[in-house]
Amino acid sequence: MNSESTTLLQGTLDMLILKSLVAGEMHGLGVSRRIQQITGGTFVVKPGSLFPALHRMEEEGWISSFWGDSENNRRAKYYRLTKAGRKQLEVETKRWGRISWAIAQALEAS
Amino acid sequence: MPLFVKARSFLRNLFSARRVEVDLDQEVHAHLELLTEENMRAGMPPKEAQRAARIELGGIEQVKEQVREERLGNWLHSVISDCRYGIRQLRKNPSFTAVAVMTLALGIGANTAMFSMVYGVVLRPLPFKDAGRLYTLWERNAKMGYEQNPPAAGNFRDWRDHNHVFEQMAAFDSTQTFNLAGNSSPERVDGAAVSPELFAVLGVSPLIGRAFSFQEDQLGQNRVVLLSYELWQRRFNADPSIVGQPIALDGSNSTVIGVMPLGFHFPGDTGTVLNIFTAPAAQLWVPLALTPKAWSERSSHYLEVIGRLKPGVTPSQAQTEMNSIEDQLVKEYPRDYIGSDVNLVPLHAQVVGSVRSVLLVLFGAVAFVLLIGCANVANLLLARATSRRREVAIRTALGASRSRLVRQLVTESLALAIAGGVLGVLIAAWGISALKLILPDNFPRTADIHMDGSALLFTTLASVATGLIFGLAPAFRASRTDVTKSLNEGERGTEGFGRNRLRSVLVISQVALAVILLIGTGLMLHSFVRLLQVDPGFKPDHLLTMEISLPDARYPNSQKAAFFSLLLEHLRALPEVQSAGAIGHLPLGGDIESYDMEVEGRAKLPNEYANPSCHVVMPGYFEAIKLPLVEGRYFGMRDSSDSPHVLIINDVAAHNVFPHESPIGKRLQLGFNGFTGEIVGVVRHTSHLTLDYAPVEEVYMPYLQAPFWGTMALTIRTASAPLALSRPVREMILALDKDQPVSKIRTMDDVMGASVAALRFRTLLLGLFGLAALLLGGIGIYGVMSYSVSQRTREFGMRIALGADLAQILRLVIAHGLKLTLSGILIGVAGGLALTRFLRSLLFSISAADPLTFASVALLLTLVAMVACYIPARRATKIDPMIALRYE
Repeated sequence: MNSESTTLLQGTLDMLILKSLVAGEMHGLGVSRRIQQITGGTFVVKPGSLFPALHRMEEEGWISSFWGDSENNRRAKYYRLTKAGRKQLEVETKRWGRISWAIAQALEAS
Repeated sequence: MPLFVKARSFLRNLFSARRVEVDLDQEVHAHLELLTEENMRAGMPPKEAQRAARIELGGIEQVKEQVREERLGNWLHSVISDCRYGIRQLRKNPSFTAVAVMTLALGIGANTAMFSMVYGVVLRPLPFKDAGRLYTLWERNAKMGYEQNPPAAGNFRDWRDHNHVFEQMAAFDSTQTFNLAGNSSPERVDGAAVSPELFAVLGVSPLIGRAFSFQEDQLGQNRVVLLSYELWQRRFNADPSIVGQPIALDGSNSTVIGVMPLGFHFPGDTGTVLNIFTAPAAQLWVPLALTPKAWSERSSHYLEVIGRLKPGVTPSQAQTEMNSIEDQLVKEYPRDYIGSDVNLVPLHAQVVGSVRSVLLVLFGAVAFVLLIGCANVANLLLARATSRRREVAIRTALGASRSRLVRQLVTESLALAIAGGVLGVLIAAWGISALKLILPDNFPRTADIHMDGSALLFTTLASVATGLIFGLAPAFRASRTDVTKSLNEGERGTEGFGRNRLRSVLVISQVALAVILLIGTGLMLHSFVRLLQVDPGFKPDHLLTMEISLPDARYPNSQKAAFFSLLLEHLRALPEVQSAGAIGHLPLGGDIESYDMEVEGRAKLPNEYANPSCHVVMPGYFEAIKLPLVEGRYFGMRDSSDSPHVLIINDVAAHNVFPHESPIGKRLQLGFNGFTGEIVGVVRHTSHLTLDYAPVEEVYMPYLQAPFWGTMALTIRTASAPLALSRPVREMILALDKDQPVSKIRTMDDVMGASVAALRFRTLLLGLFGLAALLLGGIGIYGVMSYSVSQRTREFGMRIALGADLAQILRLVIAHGLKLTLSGILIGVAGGLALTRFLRSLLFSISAADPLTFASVALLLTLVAMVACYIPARRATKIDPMIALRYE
């Protein structure tokens, strides 16, 4: 699994976290596994990157957190998308579209 | 509202730090448990599942630290905790902290004190409206070597009336003193006679009452006076009804017309003759009123002139115009103005010009002392960093990033520097009072030297800069620690080569700075010694002097001479008095007045510029000060008012005016009240300005024949200590006239001392700074060498065990220290050659690259370094090889 992990581009981690939370509220491990799942295992987000990003995004007001019970009745901290977070995801998605299109163009140019 | 969310997070991070931490801790632990559970679901045994979960998490503390660093307001939080931690560390090490803080406090304190001086004297604007347009105007006379010769009254009038570049121009005579009598005891106060334009030129108006009108500069209408705020408070109880009242000034009544604002003492602080002497702070002002004859006077140079440039006129335009006016005067009155032009000096330069470079040099010197102190503290920090490597390693292992560590260590340095700064403010306050005690009397703007907001701002900036200077390098060095190596090695351990190199660099720069500073000190000291060696021509020991100013109103000219004759007669009867005389201006007192001179019946010599400084003396003056006679005779009692008028000239005048013949018997006609007389003697030259000023032509007249002078200085040669005689002399004067004040009672040695005060002041301060630099440099070398010896204990033990004798060990250590010192000396000498040229204008009869000074400083530092190396070297020879080899 590790051999396939790819270094995340600066700024894309936020976008992936926001995107994964669109599906609904989840705890840190859930976010991590969701990203792994939706990127087909390309990106594995380590706790050392995940938690700082979650806390920073909460301070930005894009996500909010609350303590809840996990599926196995364990207490865990859950995160959910805020209105500002949805807006931010739109902004980032658009920007990412532009960037990836531009890079694809550049690589196709002869 | 994202901004609102942010602010809430920031405040929560700051004030509910505990709850945020607990929350984070629970979250990370919960994550770990979820991971474990996931692994167990995948079929791992519990132990294995937990281990795998920990590996995936990557260290609870590290993750938490990474989150903390992302937090809003993290910087503030970490600064606070760094400060707390730093202060705890410093308290754990009181001796280190005390040494470092004291070094810094002395350095920062001295710098703050010097800054207050530079700011108050040089940088603070003058307290006049639009002061940048104010200029003083002088006659420059290359022939006589005067850069700033006051113009004669006639010139001033022509300058004022014919120029189109100055808004207004005013003249003043700053050398006036007044006998103030009245209800309280009589006193002499300094004052100035000023033309009515002066207050408008300066843009200052009286606090109460009015300034002088243009009619009041006429004789007969000039019995009006303006008081300074301080005099008004002190002598007149701040009574506003004093305006309009008469006061007794110089024996007659003058009407007070106003009081000037607090702090106004013009021309106080303004440099006068040759930009060396500073006028005393004026306590009162009277109109400058001259007779029509005096207004057309061309040869008596005593008025000072100040003008306000018109807006939009440049100094060079003004210069051109004034020079063309002066050229016209030179053409019209060729005898009076040979080779002169007008010298325009900005008022600010006039006031601080003579001390500006002195202060900047001293400021630079004291900054050097601080830098040398910084190097010492940096060395201490480096030594401490070595013993703290374990701590740094543990913190690194627990997830502290390198920048976080550097920040922590720099915070500690800043805490040290700020503690030093706080203490430094106290030292500075004390230092400023001490500085004011040793300031020369004629130092400008001393009232403006005090601690204020800008000084405190300077201290703050200096402290922070200092903390960064001595803290950054050791912090970077300390944070670069190999974790595993440090943790395995234990507390001690040899340190890397790089750290030793940093130490060497510090010591070398310390020595270099000390060398530069000491070269400056040495040059100044040499100058001072040479100045003291200048022969004033007379014998200043055992001479008592004091000034008596007889007011015109009570003493017509004829009675003045009678008063002094009688007084001197009484004085000579005292058993302790060997001889006694009097002169208008004391030698080295800083005052001269020069007048036109013509040899009767002879045309001027081609290169002759006869404008000698003129003095009136009582018989016995030359004998009292022991000024040698070159030719002819001294004045005697026979030279009375009704005998033929006689003169004595000095050897400079004799050489210039009578190069090929004896002057005895020749007759001179002087601009000094038209005095004409026959030369009866030639005396040796002496200096009336300063010892370092080239001798000028001088003419002496008997006071009995030329009593046009109110103030005379007594010169009394005594058999015993001169000041012991001051009481009987005073009583004798009061017995003659009970209303007559006596002032400036001092020995001639004191007068000479005052004339070298400026050079003594800067020599003293530079000497102090030099000494501090030498001490700090020595301590620096000692510290590094003893550290190096303790690091090399094992090596030295081995050498001794292998048969090295003690002399070899001694040589090894001292050679190492000397190598560092000599590198420093080389750099310092190079720096000295580059920097001492800034000292050139402050030196007297010594070159700024004086090889003897450079060599002695190099030698001195080598000696100090040898002593500083010798102590650790001896310790090295005492190492017991058995203990050394078992150690570690």
